[in-house]
Amino acid sequence: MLSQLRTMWLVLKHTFTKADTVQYPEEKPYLAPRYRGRIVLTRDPDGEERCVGCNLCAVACPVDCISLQQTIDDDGRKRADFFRINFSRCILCGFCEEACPTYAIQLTPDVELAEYDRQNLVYEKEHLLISGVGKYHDYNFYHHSGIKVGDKGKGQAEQERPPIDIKGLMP
Amino acid sequence: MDDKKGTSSQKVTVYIDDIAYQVNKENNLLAGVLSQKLNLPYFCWHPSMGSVGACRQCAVTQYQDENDTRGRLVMACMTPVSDGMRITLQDKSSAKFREQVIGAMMTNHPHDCPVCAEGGECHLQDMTVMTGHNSRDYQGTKRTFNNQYLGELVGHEMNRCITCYRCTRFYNDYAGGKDFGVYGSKNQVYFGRQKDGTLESEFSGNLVEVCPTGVFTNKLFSAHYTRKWDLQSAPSVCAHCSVGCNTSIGERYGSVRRVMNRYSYDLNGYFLCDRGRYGIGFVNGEQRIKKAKGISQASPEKLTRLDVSKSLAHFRGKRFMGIGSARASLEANFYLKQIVGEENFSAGYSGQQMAVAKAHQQLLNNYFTKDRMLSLREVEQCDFILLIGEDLTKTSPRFALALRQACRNSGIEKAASMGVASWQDSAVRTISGKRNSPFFAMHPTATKLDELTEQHLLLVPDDIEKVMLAITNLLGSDLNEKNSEKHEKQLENYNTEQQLFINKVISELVKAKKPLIVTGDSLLSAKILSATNKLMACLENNPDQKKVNLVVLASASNSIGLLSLIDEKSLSSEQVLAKLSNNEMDGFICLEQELATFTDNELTLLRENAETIIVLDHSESRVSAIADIVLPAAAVSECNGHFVNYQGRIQRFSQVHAPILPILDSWKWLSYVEKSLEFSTTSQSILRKNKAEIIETLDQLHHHFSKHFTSWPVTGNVLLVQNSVARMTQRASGRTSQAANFSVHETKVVQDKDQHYRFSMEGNKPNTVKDMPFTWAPGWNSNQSINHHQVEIQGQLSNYHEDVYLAFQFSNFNHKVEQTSDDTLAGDSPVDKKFTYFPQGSLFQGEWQSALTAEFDLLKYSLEKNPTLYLSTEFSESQGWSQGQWLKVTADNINCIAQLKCDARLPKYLVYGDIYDFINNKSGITVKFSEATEFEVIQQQESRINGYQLAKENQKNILERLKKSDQHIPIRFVAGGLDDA
Repeated sequence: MLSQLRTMWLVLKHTFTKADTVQYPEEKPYLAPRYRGRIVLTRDPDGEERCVGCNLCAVACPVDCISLQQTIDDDGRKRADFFRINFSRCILCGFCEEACPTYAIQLTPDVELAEYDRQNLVYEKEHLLISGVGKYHDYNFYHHSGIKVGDKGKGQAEQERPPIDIKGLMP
Repeated sequence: MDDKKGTSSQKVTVYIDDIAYQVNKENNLLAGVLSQKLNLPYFCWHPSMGSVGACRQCAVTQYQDENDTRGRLVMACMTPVSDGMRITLQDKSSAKFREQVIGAMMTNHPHDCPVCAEGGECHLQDMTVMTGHNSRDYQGTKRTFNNQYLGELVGHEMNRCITCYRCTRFYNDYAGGKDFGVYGSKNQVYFGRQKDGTLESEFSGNLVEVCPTGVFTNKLFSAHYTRKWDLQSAPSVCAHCSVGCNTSIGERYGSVRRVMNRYSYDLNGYFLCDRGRYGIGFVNGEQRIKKAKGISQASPEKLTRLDVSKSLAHFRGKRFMGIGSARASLEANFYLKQIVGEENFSAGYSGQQMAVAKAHQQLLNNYFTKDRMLSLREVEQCDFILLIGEDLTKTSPRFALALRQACRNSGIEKAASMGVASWQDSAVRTISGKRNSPFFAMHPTATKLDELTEQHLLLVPDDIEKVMLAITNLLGSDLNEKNSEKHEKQLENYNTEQQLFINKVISELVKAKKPLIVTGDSLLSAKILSATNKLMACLENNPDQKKVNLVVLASASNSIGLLSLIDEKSLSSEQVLAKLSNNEMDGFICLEQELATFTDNELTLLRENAETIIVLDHSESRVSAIADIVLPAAAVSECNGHFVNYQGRIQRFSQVHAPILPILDSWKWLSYVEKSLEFSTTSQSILRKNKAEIIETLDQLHHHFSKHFTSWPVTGNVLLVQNSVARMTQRASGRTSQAANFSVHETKVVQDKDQHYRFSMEGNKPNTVKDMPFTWAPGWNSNQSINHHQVEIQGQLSNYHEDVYLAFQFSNFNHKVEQTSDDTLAGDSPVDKKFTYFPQGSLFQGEWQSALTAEFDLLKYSLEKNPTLYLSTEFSESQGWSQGQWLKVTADNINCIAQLKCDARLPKYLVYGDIYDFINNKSGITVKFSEATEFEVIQQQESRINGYQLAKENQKNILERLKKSDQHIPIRFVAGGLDDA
């Protein structure tokens, strides 16, 4: 008896609280920047593609909705030859973002991913790639990696000593 | 030692974490621990190369007895196993030690994993996870190195090195490489060459697998890269020589990506040669035949069965011959022979080759009806080698690597006498020094194995035969009377060098415990094979002689399978031509055969006389260019079948991926041909009689053959796999998106009617069968996970079953050998003053299929090495020529420019060289030479530069095309016949 009254009280009390729901789509709710919505591919601070085509997002994906092929550019940079996400399968779990070693793949707060035709939910690289850095403003993978890329030669990455002269006699 | 399973009979009890295990006494503790499928990290130790204790990674705590609680740290790889020994892998101190060792190695390891081709199958990654080292403590700077250019096949990224020394131990110590080394000291140790340049060893590709991390990478794989977990793999057999190494071919998005070693206890063990590893490139080549030629299609979209039978119906009633080939599967060859009838079947061999085949059959008949030829593993145990007329490093490279190991036996024996176990690699090598087991060789050209021989002779085939006859005679007479006078008389026709050779061979052969004679058919000399026959007969009759082992190598992957189908009725290529010109036959069916024995003129003649030429092949050849009908056959990665290796071992290669239609297995094309054409053969009547029997898969074909054909050479079940094993890893990615650009609805996976392996990640685990599509174990992502699937380290695979062998029972036949002009030339006496040229074998160009690989063309035209002609020092001095002189070589109106090198060992009229394109690489041709003009040299160099650029362009185009095709993955539902969508 007491519990029923208490329940009634709680329900009625909510009549006077402010509603959490909003009049979507006229009104849009606030979504935090780290909200897991539509996936994008970002660029590094120099404007180059961050994705190195390492396949870690694809392997982390529980629904196998990411596929890509790595290719090597003439300057030694690796990137995705094609990069495809099938959003009709994507569950927006964010594992790909967690797996990404270069901060290339990021989830955005955009959740408006509805289409009349399922085929339109297949996003290619041109649809995914944005021109900004996303949530990580100053990370450039190639500044940390040991491989030679474009102008950055051996020993020029962060925390690297210049290459050893193997023909030198010094110990 | 249980030789069949590779398990030791000498087991002792070792307590690991208080649990008793039976461990092999002859091997070290690390191998013992790993044999129990326990996880213990290691780097420098390798099952085939033994221990050196360089990396300090496999530390375990050893206790004195059960009361000892403190214990002491020992390196498992350097510790012999003793009875009752107690160790632990789990105590804190050794675990901490192992973690710190990794930590130290990682201080300089770059942040490369995302862009490293080794990632996902990296031994260093696996071991780091295994030790629990998960965050970097070191905050200082990393040392870096500049990389070297190591050729078109192997990439170099020296920053990643953890100095385990495995590369140099493999390349220099195990494979006998000369152009690789280790430089520098302490933290600056560098593994590479003295200067940039192509690695010279035939086994350089193994560096990729031997290196625990990504210092050495497969350049071809990196260019069109995918992770190991995404590869769809199937167990295959190398299609490039008669050794039959087991390989695992990986595919992704419809194109073949790479070949990896697949462990085989009997054959290749842990290593492959570069031809086997990189030669797969031909399946992606520009010259692949993808469309049928000469068949009118009703619908432009696809070719149907009806189209094929309609087009072939025109040829009904025509008389066809069939030409089989040594690179086609056993089934296809047998099928063809049955279709056309045995009297119309040819192996595509010339008369000379038929004589060689006959001699080869005789050898197999005489010595291998009960025994089997030695496997590579058994070859490695031999202690005397006589190598006759075969440049193994170029024709069967993996066999040459086995011989190199056999040469070490005398050193290993010496070490054993001093109480040093064979796995103590460094100590054994120090003890043995330059000591080699007795090894003798005879060949017309210098070979890479010469450096290991006690003595080798450079001789033309006829002289080789003469020397062998002398050995035979002396061995025979030794038995009855030890008459030194007679002995000397026997040898008086030989020069001192040859006499020395003969005497040494005899004295060592008699002493040897497990002697081995190796020969082959690459010189196309029946005389050598029959001389071998005589020698063997003589040795068998000698009661004092230990059993002498004989190995006869063949040239192609299925040479022995084809050999088993050759009989007295089989036609030689000359007879094929004669039958056509006499109008006895109307045409022929050419099964994966490029007719290399025909000259261009003969080929034109063939075309003129044949009404119809039907060609089944996977790549364009000179025969497919002139054919009326070309049917696109599947390459080794796209179909199922069996190859028979030099021993007669029947090995199955499995389909890696379903090819794009209308590419089909050769035998499936043959079944269409058989149905549409009429042959008055038994096979067709048998097939027609058993119409109810559906033959859609290779298995059904096999059952049909063994049920109805007494001549089917396979006895025993070669189709043991019934497990439906997954071809993909459990973590294969992209299933719901890889074809989503065409349709968002996922397609059904291709159904393989053979049902041995599945085209998906679903199915039984790879380790439930002997022929694993790929190797993986929990925590072990690299190929070194094979440790978990062996009964014991270096032993048989856990799911081992006995291989099936061909039974060698050939009817003796006399084949008419038409003496060709080449034949007489080879036997020329020096009086004629004709120079006989022998080509040095070529690893990459030596086999037709592998020569189609684009990267091998780059190596062929590479300016690093000029084409060379070797002349005797005596002759070149008499001409006033010195080393480096450019010469013009002429034979049969073909000119070539080559640089002179002098070889003091050469007899005056023997010449050899590595001029690839020179007259189809024919042996024993007469050549003339003169000084080349400067213009000719420049011309030659320009043509090479052009060739190189063309090859480079070709390579680029192929890569572009493959990348495009990655997004157009063919959809097929059934990997069956033409109409199965």
